[in-house]
Amino acid sequence: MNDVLDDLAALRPGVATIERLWTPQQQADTLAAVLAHDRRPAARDHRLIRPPRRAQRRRRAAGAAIVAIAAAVVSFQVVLPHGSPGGAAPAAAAALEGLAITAAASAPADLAGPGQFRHLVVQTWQADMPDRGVAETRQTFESWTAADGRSWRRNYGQDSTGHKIDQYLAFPPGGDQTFSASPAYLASLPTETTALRRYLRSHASGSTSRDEAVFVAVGDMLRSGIAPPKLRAAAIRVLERTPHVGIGATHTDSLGRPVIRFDFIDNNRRANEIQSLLFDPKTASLVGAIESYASGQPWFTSTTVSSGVASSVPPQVLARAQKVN
Amino acid sequence: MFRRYGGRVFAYALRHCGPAAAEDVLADTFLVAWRRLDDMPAEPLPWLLVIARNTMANDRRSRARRRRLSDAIAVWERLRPAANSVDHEVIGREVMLRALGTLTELEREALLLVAWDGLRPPDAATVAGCSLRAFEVRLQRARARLARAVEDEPPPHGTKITKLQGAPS
Repeated sequence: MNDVLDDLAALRPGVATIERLWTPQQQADTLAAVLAHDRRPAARDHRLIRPPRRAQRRRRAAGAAIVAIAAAVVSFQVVLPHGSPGGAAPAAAAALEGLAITAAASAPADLAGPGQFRHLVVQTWQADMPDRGVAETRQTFESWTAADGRSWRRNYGQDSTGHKIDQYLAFPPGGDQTFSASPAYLASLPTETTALRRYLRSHASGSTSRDEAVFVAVGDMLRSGIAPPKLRAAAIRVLERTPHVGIGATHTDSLGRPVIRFDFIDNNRRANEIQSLLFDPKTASLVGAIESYASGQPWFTSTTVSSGVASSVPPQVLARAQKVN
Repeated sequence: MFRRYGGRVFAYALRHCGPAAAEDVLADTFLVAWRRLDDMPAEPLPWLLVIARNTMANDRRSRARRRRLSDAIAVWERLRPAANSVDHEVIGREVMLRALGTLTELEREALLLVAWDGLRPPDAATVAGCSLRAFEVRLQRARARLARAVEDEPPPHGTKITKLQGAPS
């Protein structure tokens, strides 16, 4: 190494520096959380252990395997009644049950059929956070998703550096993960609430708190609007059985439309942070998400401005879209 | 494995997201590693960093957090040693901080995979998701740019920069 790399290496954070941010107690808690998980291999593991260059191609889930895993865990199920200490707060559970009934009864008229496209316009806002080096950001995502899961998207607005952006992207069908789910994957998931709950609790990732991971996974599954009605209902009922979920204080979204808001608050895991999902009370559709401080001051919002079914993708989108693997 | 490599994986994740998200990434990384112990190579750190990188790339929450916390300088600030450092270390660190901030994200990552994570270029290239040749070119360019940027940085308050001594605690 030459001098500049030596200098950089000399600044490498040592054990004491790391332990200031990640205490031995937190390390022990993290290890305990890892060891508490289901050790059976998950479908996504294979993709995650591969170097990124070779991991660009997403693998489809083996639907039968997922159903088999779900069926296996059902035999060990422990049913938590909604509104109990092991589930959402009573008022939230009652509201969620009402939404689940609405979702289950809805005809899948808003799902794209062959030759059609699910059309969504979503606006996001990120607050100015100078302490984190991030400027205020407003972006709009307009997407068209085909029945097979392929999608085209236009992103426009400004990025965190203040520069205007206008991107056109084409995506292959999603994969076997809740945050980017293919229609085939969603169709393979259990629609029975307990089975879905057990599946999500053992497979949802992104948090050392299974409750938080499940809350986020449900939001991800519903956000794209391509989940079938029975799965929507089951996913909403999973929230009934998720601790730390309560009714939010506000009843309108950023556009002033009436919504039912559910907050996930876990001060032990996410101090000073509220994650919220907003549902349309008439359709039980997920129409927004908010992340805010405990004071209620939001720092991120995502709002579905419009949703519906389109007969085609605009030609200029098709022409300009860059393929994303 | 957790005790030996947990801190290194945490530090790697911390360069891309905040402490809470880094802890989540670390937990996901070791969960996958635990499930896939049979696949673990003799030298596990590059393999663990690949899992961490893929986890961050695939995780929506982490992506969102990374967008909000992507400023490498802020991350560096979090990793600064305690206040008992001698002056010339502090000065040198500030200069290096600003110089590092002038590089692209890919260049910074190439330098830190080698200088902080201690990876050999072939392993670092695997973690970075590029060919060895591409990584070596990137590292060479980054090293040259960093050296130039350090030279161009005015020392704070006109103080002469002293070469850094030893690693922080």
